[in-house]
Amino acid sequence: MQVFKVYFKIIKANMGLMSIYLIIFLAISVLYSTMATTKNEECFSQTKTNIAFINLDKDTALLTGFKGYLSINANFVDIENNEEKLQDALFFRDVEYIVTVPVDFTKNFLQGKPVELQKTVVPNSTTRMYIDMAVNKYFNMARVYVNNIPGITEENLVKEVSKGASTETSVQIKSFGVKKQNNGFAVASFNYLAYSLFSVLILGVSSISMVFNDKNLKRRNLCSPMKNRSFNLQLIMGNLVFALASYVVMAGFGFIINRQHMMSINGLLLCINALVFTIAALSISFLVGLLIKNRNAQSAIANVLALGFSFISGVFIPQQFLSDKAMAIASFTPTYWYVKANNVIGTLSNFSFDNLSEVFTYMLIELGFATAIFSVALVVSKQKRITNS
Amino acid sequence: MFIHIFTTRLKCLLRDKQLVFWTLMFPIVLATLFKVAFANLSTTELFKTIDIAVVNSNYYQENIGFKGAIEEVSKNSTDKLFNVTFTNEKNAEDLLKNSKIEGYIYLNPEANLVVKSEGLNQTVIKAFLDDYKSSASTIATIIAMSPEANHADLIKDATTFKQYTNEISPSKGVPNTTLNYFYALIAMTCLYGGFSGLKEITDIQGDLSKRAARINMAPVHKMKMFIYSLCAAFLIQFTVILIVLSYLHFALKIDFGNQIFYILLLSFVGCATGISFGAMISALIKKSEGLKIGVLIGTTMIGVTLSGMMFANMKYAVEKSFPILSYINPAALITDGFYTLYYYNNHQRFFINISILTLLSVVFCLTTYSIIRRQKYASI
Repeated sequence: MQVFKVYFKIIKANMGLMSIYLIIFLAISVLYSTMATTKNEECFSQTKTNIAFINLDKDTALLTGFKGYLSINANFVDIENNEEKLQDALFFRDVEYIVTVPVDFTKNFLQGKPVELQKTVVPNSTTRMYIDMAVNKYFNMARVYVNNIPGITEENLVKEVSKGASTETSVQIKSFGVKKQNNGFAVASFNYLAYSLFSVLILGVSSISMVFNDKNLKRRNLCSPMKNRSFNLQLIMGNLVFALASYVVMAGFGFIINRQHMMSINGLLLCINALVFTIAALSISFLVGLLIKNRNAQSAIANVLALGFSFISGVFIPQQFLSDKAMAIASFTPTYWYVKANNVIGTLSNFSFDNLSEVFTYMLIELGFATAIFSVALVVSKQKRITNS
Repeated sequence: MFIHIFTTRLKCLLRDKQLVFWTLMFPIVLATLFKVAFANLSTTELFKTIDIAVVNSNYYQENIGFKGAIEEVSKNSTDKLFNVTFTNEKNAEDLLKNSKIEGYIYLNPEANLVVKSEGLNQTVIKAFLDDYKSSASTIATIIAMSPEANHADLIKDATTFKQYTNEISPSKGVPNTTLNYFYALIAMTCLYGGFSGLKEITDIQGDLSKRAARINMAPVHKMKMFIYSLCAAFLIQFTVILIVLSYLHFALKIDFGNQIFYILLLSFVGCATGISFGAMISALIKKSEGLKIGVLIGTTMIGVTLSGMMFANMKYAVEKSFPILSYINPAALITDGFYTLYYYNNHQRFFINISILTLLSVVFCLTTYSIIRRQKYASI
């Protein structure tokens, strides 16, 4: 068992670098789970937009009524009336719509003069459309009252318009038996595992192969009375145990953090999927380990591969936001299929064969990658042995 | 002497593959990944015509007012609100189930909406229906309140739609949050210039490397040597920034505004800050190179995270809650510099950023100088 023991000595020596990725993973998982909110989707509630409301006119009854009516559609965010502060807030979407009421708006409006509110918006956004609808509805209604009921008082006008504006259409939500399960963050946490686990495996496995592929060390090892088969078998065992241990630590932590959602078939499937991904990641790490020559290249390749795969496969940003081109490229990585399977698992509530077969197909693809890459690695290592001797 | 030291240091830095990777290749790779990942992020908030279905029942056919309203918002124009499919109730339900539509409307005889989940698009459909309902009730109320009103005029007035909003945009640039990721990335590239600064110190302090020990034997004034090598580091780093900027601008089409002179000025100062920061760390920490690099990467990463490289709104949150932090964080200052150039109409905040960055560079340089000056080695 000498080789097996040496394997873990090397891992221990490289623990520092790998623990960085582990800590990042743990921190992100905790962050995800604290951010999770439970949302009830039994009855329809309107989506509200954050807006800034700046009133240069007086606090007239018309504007108070308007503000009260807008609060159905929007949340008011208090921001100082300073151009740069408002611009900052809009850029970082603290607010999505800034409405400014000009001086003497109410007076001119009641006299029937053409008036306009000034708005600063995210161009062509849905929220702009939505708040525009609300603003125009209120003042169009008010205008009709002003034009057709001569002498209507401002208070009466506001009362009537607000009453009219509050008529609501009944909305029915049909979920078609798809129970919305709130395991979004368990999925997010397991998706993130694709980055951390992958980084740790590449670093660990390539550290090992750098040591054992060192020319002088290799020659010395070949002289030893140990059978080549036993030597390789111990290395393989080492790799498997290391990969499994990393998997258990990360998936275990993901499990504990999200425990109230993980005690389900969804949780079990997430764990199985992570295990399948671990195998694929291990085979890639094995191939990378064969090709890396020195320590500097190691961290560069580990970073680029792990980050790159994760970015284009939707680990950091949900897959529906990625461009089609990115997805097309990403479909050549196991990470993509892992994330895809996780996302499907997150929405499952009915575990019929049809629903599950999709998940299992993705897992099979991951395994396919593992086999293909492992075969390539075997060819490469054979090639290397021939050229070396 | 200058040319000799300068060219030798250039070669030294350029042959360090790790340095070239982290300062040049890594930002380029990361920028490409950002581009790929954020490609659709800013388009998700753009308005797309909403797909809905209307149940083509007798109630619908008889309700001329509602029919007109639906036709009005679904006719082809720039403001087209809905793509409407007319169908029977069962089909509409199927369409909804398969997410082909966001919701469907049926009349019985009041308009009702059926949706699958909550959301902004669903809310827009509801707002449209509310709107229709309330304008109908307006007419009824007015007729009740003043029966003498001219009905034809009233209906005409009630159905004319006036715009009560006027768009003003105080800034030149579109408020596109994803740009901040790229600006923070350039800040990271500037600060990664610290690797060169760090290496220059290691190669000139006799107790840090063998090469430095040998160089210290030469009869050249140490400060001269140090300044010459910093010039080499600066030239390389500034070229790197220019390459990264051109890549971002020409290949990835990232918008920086068009004030090229100010952009170059900011990159120049950013480079100086990065290199002097690395030099200071290297001088302060007299331990192994690994530890120095670790500290440099660690501080840089914390800096760029606070300026929004991992999560853009972080920059805004820090500015709001701990403004002092964004004034001493070089990464935030560089990011904010690019942001103000792109987004603001004046240069006031830009010059505040530049001034603080220059001040920081001077402080870093002086600290470094006070540590490495007059060090002679009797034995190493």
